[in-house]
Amino acid sequence: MEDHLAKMARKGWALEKVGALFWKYRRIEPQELEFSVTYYPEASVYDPGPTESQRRLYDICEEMGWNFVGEWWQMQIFSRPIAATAEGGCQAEEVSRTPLETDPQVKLANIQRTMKRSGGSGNLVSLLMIPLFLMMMFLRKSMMDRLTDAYTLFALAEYVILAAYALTNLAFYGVWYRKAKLAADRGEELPPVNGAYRTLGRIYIVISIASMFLWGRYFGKAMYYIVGGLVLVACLISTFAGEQLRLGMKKRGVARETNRKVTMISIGVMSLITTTLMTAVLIFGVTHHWFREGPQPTEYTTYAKNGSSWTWDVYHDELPLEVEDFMETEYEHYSKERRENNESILAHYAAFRQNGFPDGEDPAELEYEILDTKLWYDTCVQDMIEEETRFREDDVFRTDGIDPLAKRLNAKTVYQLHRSDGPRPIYLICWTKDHGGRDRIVRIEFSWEPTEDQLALAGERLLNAEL
Amino acid sequence: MPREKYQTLTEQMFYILVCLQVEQCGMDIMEKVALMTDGRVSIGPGTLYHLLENFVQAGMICETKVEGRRRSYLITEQGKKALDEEYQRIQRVILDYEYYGVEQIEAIGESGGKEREKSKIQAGKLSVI
Repeated sequence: MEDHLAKMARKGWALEKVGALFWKYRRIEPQELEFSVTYYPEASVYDPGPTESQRRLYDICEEMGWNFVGEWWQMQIFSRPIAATAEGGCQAEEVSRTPLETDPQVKLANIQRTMKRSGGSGNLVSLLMIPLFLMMMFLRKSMMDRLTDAYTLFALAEYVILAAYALTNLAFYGVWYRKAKLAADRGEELPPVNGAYRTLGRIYIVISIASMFLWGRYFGKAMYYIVGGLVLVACLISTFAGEQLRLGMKKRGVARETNRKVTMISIGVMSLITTTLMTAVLIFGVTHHWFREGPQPTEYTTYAKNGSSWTWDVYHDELPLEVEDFMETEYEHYSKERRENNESILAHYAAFRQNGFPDGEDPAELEYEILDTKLWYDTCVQDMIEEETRFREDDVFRTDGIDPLAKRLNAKTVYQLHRSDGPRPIYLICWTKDHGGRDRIVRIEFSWEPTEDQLALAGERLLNAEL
Repeated sequence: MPREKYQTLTEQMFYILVCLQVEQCGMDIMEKVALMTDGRVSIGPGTLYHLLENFVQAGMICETKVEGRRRSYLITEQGKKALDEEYQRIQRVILDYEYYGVEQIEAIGESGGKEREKSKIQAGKLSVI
């Protein structure tokens, strides 16, 4: 920092104000200035102004020609003009050339106190977020949900990266502190911060941005830009507003603790408001089909015998398998919907439905889900079985009697749902790399009893369907 | 073995306390220490501030007056005691350096250090604290 500020002064820029996000410079005549930093562990960004004790520091430093420039958290920045020391100069001149800090043990003790007060806690908070996200992941009911939840997985990935950065930060500090302690005990100057530490910060930013782009493509085009943009705007507004509030209270001389509490509460409230607004916008958007990637639905109104009417959304998505593939039908109001599409690096899940409406015509209907997963395949199969059978005690998926079908479909296993009154036209087909060429699980429900040929057609289409 | 805070004083701490046997302000301390040590020991303003604050908190010096922005300090009885202990410690170090030549080092363990301690106290070169 000292070198950077000296370089800026040589170019004609003097540091005027240190902000949370940006540092402000003002134009000056280019000059050779020496900068030095001393640590004041008790300083807080919430202080209304320099404390009595800080003023003592500034006074002593000013007596020796060091001018206070600004503070950044606990770092107090001073500068003085560089002037050549005359040879054989008097002691007073030597005193005036004395560095800001001359006792490495005192300097190191201040740095350590500063780290304990603020530096370590920020890193620890990042590390604590990981278990929180893991808990969120495991609160979800099924492995399939966990593997396909791109948003939570993305957030988890970002926090893992942040935690790795925090741990590395702490490790770097630990290594530096040991070296610095040895140097201070020998009365030597403290070693400079390892350049790798700064490179680490840049690497973290690059990895973080790359991760955003990697995960972002699974969010769905519109969602990615809209949600990402909303989140960014919300963060910037909260940060900016919080910062302005803190500075406003600081200018008015509000006490440190009051300033800190009010700022923290305000940021919390603003975050809650922006999150609520965002959620409301998302919900409104979903119900009004803003984020649909397929054609917009049309409406169809049906009338019940008692005279009441219902208006339905009729979807027109492309389906990999349709009722028309099995039979001729004259029903004109089919809704063909891609109900869900959740994708992440780890898995892809899509659900489709072709259904009619209660208009007295009772057409054939079809509903199916496709899961492609590279991980925890057997667990996903169990989850799909449990999802189907958890509502009724007598529901059970069985494989007896349909081995020939499994062979015909080249599937590893085929399950059929059985109830107390007999088998139902609901099947679970499990393909693997060895059986069928890919790790895919399909659940399909017919509204009629399919023939074996129809089942074979369904299997063949759904095995090869592109999600 | 880590030392207790102020159990041994660094040179800068030592000379600050020496100076504050007379009421002084910050700038004067820095100048006088440089003069006393022919420039060998210099105290930066940042270091001086932190050490003065630490000494005040430890009760080894006290603030005597404030004139505008200049504050003056004076050593306390506790500070004098710490200074005296440091003096005694340095004396021990000097005596050990003067006494222990090659023969004496090789003879360690035969007569024991306690005999020498007695002789030093008897010679009045070391006071019992």
